[in-house]
Amino acid sequence: MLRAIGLKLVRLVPVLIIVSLATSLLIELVPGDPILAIIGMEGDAGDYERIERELGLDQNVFSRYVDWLANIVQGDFGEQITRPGVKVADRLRQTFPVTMQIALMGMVLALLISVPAGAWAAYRAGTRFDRLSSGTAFGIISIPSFLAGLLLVFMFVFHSAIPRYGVLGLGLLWSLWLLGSTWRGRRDGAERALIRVAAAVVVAGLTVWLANKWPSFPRQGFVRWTSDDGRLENLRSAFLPAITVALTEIAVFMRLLRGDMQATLQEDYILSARAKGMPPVRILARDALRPSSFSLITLAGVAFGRLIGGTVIVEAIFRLPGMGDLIVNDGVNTGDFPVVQSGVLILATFYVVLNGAIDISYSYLDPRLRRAR
Amino acid sequence: MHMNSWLLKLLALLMAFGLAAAACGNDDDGGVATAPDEPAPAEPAEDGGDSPAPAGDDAPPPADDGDDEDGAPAPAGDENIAPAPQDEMMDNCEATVAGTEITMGMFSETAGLDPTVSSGSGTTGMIELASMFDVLAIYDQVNKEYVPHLAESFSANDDLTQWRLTLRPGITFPDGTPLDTSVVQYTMERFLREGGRNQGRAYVAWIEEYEIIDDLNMVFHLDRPWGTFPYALSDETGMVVNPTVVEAIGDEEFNLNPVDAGLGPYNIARYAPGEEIVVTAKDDYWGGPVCVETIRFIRIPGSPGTYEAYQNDEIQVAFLREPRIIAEARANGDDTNGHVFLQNAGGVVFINNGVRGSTPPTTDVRLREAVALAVDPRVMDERANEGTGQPGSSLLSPNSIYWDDELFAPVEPNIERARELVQEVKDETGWDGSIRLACHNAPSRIDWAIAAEALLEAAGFEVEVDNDGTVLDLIGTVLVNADFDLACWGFNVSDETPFIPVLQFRSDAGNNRIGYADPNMDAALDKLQVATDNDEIQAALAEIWVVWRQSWPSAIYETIEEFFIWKPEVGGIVGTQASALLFHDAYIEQG
Repeated sequence: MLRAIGLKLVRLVPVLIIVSLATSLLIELVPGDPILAIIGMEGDAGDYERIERELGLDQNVFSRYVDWLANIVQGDFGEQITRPGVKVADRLRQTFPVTMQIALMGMVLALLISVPAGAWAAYRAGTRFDRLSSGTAFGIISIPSFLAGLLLVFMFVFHSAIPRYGVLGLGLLWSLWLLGSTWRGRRDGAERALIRVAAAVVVAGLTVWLANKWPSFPRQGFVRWTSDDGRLENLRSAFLPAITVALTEIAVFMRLLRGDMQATLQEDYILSARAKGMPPVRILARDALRPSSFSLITLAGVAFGRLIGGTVIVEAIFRLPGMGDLIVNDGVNTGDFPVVQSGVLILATFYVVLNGAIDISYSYLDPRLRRAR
Repeated sequence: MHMNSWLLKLLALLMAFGLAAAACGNDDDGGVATAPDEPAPAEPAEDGGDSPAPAGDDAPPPADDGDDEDGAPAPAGDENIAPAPQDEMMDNCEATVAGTEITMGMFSETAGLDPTVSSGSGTTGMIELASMFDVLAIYDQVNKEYVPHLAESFSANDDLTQWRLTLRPGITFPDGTPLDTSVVQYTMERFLREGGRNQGRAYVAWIEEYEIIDDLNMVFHLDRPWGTFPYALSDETGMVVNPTVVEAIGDEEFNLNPVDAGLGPYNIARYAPGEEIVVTAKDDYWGGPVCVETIRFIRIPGSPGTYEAYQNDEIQVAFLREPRIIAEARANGDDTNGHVFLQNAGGVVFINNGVRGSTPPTTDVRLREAVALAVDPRVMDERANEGTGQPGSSLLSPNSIYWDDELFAPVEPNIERARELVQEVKDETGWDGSIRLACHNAPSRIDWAIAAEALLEAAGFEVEVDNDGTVLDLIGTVLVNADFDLACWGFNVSDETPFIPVLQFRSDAGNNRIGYADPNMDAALDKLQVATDNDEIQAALAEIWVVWRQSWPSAIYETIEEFFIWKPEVGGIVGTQASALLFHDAYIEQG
């Protein structure tokens, strides 16, 4: 195992060198000049030349890259060109946790919703639930994240009555359905009827309470986990961005798991478990989920890596001080290459390490792979 | 049994989710601030805003009249004496909520907290910096004149080449370093250092000598007359910094964490680039108690997001610059508390008159006139701002304090005359009518370019539009490469400081970006340079406008509004110049 990890770490080095060199060349090709960002519309050609000279920006791209790489090897990420004295490492330290939290919360929300929904849709393939969940998933997939973000702002920030009373209505309908099922299943026994009535009361109570205590969400901004405002404020500020990120992933994960699990449920050992009278939840959770989750884990890993660097739209909509905002707005748009190169390096490292970890996790999921090694 | 346990687990899970979601909220009913039901359209304030009066009448005794014992030249002329630093009502913050916080949504972010690094004006850092450093003078938006602030008085000699400054006595930085004339000299000279980026370095360079008379009195000797020199005392160049702190921590650290380095009502508490600037009140501010404990400055990209945050009560002060959103705020009645800064000639078609030896077709004055006659401000406004902007083809807006119907009569669009002029040049020179129009790719500017292209083509131009790049590309095209015929631009001639922006039209100006040269304009600018009161400024601007309409340096189509609004419970915010606000008297009303 240690050898496998060591090999993966060794392979990381050439990947990162290629990525950083490619970034360096690409940033040279895209528009954006830090000196123009500094002088602004009030400057003139004389100012341009003076600042170029002062900052030593008249070097070619390869000289700049070699200088940057030499500093990186010594652990120095350099300074922002457009903000004198601001260390790039400080900016990365400041922004990475924000993006990480949003991506992590988004992934957790996506998995919490998609895994049960996908598994149940596979188990009840062809039923109303399956058709409804599939239709919803296709609908969600077709909404781009910038639109989803704005819709969530519209509903949760400026028209909070919509989700509030929507949840209340759905909860009460569910509660009524539970009461109805008690009547329909009145011959199932008193114990089961009691549980259903209790469930209906709990659901109704919970939804009424939730509607009464409906939280307000901020339009923009981010309260840090370590802020004096507290953890709950942090979760409140991160909730809408995380949901925005999660929405697309929910739909994709759900469709993927449904397909894989439907195939798994046709396996002989599942039929055997069913024949023994095992409850469906146990079959789904303990027997079918693990062999069905290879694709899901691979995709979740890739998606998580992508989210770390790709939440720029969500960050822009909700004004989050994250990595995407840093790299695009403070880096690419102004041609501040130390920011872009160092930011991309961190993301590439994270991405490669994450995928390596996923590779290693396969051997835990499938004993055959472990034995093969 | 198995089904029962599954159901119970599901219910437990739901309850956990419900509890978590509810815990994220607060105890109110989740109500969201919404716009009033019946919007009341509001007219732009004629005086440029409705900020409260900055100070009372209990002014301290005037400073030494300049009859110096040490033989220094005694500047003559009227002396501006500082009013009381603080409104009487605010002497002890009685009518306010103590320990409160204001969050302000800014237009853009400063590059740092060093006044020599921040690029300047309220759009980019001046408000934040003024809260920490304070300024030697402020522009009194009520009486429309510069008045001393950290200074006690200032006055000029007869030819306006020497300005005497007297500082308020007894003011000290938090570490005990006194405010004296050497500190003022140190502050201004820092603008010329390597690494300085603020445009103030251009006019600080006009100061030939700092004559220190004593700790509180000094004379600035200028290399040219300047009637509105107090502008330099009210800008970043007038933000006095503590030399002890700067020298102790160095320029770079000072740019990030200038604790105790200023004389403003606030001290830096947190500077997180890209996130926020937080300042907290000093308990020993020289001007008296500071009633708002904390101010957070955050940048929300774009006016729509800023206004939404304002409506949702997430910010109490908002800076709006997009005409459509300003119109929406007015329609919602959100302009009752606030301040409007006018940027006259904020929207212009920048015309290359032959900068740096280039020979664009627009070196011919007839084509420049044709451009000015073809560009119809109302059409441009309809296209770019959905008719919500401030279209106008005069040097000044009708809302300007210098406005006069006759003196500043706008250019009337005349497509027939424009067509004649274009045809005349074509016939005479064989020019094919082609002309390049540079702009950038912001959505409103794409619409702008479409409108400009249509109007110019109607006059007989063959327009080649280049608006693929960003605003930085446009800056490079115009300022660095000078490779343009026409460009979307702005002169931003503010009422508080008309001289600095129009200075670029002087034939020998270092920042003459269009290559315009006209001796009559130079003469008119000379008059503006020595203008000291608003009548003189108006007369000089009127003369500039006369010359403008003869030589057509560029085509004006719009006034830009820089629009600040704050919540009804917020008060005491003072507008000064360069779209900057001062918070030393700010308060939040109880109840």
